[in-house]
Amino acid sequence: MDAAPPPPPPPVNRLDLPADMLSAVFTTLEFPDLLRCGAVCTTWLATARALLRDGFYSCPQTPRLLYAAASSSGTDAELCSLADKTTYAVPSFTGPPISDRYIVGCSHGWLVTADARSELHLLNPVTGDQISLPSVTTIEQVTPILDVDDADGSVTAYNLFFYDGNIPRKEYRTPAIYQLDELRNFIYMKAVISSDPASGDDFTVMLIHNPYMQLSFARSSDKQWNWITFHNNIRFSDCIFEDDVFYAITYHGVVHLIDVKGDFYTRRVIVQETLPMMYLIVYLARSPDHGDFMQIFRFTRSSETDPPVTRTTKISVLKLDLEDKERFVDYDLGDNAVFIGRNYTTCLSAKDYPELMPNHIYFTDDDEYSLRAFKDTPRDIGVYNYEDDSVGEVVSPQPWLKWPPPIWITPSFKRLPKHV
Amino acid sequence: MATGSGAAAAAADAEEKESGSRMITLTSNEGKAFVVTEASARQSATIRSMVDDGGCVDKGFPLPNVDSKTLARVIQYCDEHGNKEAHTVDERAALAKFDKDFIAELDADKAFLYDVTMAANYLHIQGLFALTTQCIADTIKGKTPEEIRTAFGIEYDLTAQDEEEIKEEDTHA
Repeated sequence: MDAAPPPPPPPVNRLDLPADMLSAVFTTLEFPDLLRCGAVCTTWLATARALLRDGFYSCPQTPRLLYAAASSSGTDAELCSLADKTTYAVPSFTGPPISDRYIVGCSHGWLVTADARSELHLLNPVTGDQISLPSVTTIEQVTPILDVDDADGSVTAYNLFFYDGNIPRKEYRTPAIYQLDELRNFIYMKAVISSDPASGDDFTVMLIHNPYMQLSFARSSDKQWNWITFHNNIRFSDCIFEDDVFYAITYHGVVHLIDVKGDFYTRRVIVQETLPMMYLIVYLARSPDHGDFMQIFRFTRSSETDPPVTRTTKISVLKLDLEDKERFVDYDLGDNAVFIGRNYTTCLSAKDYPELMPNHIYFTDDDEYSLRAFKDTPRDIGVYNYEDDSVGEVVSPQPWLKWPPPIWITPSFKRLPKHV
Repeated sequence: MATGSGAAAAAADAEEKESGSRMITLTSNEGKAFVVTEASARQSATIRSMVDDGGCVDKGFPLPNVDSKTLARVIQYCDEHGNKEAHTVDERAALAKFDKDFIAELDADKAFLYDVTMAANYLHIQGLFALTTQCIADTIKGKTPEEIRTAFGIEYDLTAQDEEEIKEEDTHA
């Protein structure tokens, strides 16, 4: 080479990466670290903000506890980190106050919330994005009571009918009238979302609802809830969406496979046996490699006090073998951690999420009776050590308000496409 | 084109067979020449595409954005990943061990780590870029803003207004 000696390199701040490379680093950080990076210097602040604003930030997040906390301005939504027990204000939260809503589910970073008229909305607390779901009056057993003096026929209350899928229809009691803000307290048990609504693809919300813990679903294109009939008195406890279909488990341990992809749903029983145990809360989960299904049973005890305080005393995990039908085998959680409550029942490997404790089960309150009747009792939230059956605190002292009940969330910073 | 397509294809074939044994010259911004195997140079997507486009293999590649010290270190990575096989479990383990030691050394000198990251980005060496950005990310994890500044020797330049806004939107524990 005969090139002249090149000029000396221009002086650069050797300790400052250009923004695009900083972004590459930041996208691998979970949001608490990203927030701290924003407080380092102006370049880092601008980069962190741009990343959050533009919706390119998609680092997989460890689940955290979302709860309402008292603040100077009323109540704030906060997130609690599991590793360093730090609490965070929900970043860039611009949505409605979380405390005005009932929270009935959480999947893919989206809360399923019920407003003061008992109408359901999906809400991503970190982006403030919202999607309204079909009206509660389109649920099979609900009819609106209209204001007779109002020409527009505004809804003043709801009628709830007490029947299930048995044919011929049998009403177990006379219909009951619920006020607009009252129905949500009774009707909603749990809701799960099939996929992240912000991905832009079609999604389906499956709802476990009263009376009698039935199933109804709504696709993103639906204007009404679609009731699923079962021809007998079946009560559902949990539901997950795996391999493009819903798996729903009853309180008796019967597992139904429900496919809503076509114009009509199809369903079939894939595990028939009735459990020896009843009236427990049953969850359905799948291992992180999408292999094993597991049934999770939660045993609780309520104190003799008034009001009673509910505490989780034991959690069992059994392998649900769809092939061998050897279902009643203890499942070895190994490196996995499980999240149960009203959230989408989630099983993650502590190898992938080092903040998590392996072989532990993180739980929040979802006891129907306690949540409906006792909104001012301490919530049943903790970490269950599956090795020695001990129960620990998530964080102490507990920073959350007792209502709305805290829920596990895997924050998602992906924003809805603008045209939605 | 002077030759027929058949001859061109034959020439390309011959070149293909030869690649890996051919040597390529990379020149740092200080004018220092580094001769590497083509397999090593092909770790860089930038150089790979220039070579595949029938570029100036003989003339070598001047790299005006990379100094000699950084280039030597980058080549060390490329040699290891380009010249060695990674088919067996043992071979992969050896490469993983190399990466671990390689990045541990860089981690001790943050300014140099930055330079290597910049060069990996410039040369599009995906594996090396992932390795260095992951190292930077690991250094950041769990640290306070002050600790991060110390770790990377970053000057504090936030305004009072920035601080106020950060306080409003961020952690309060």
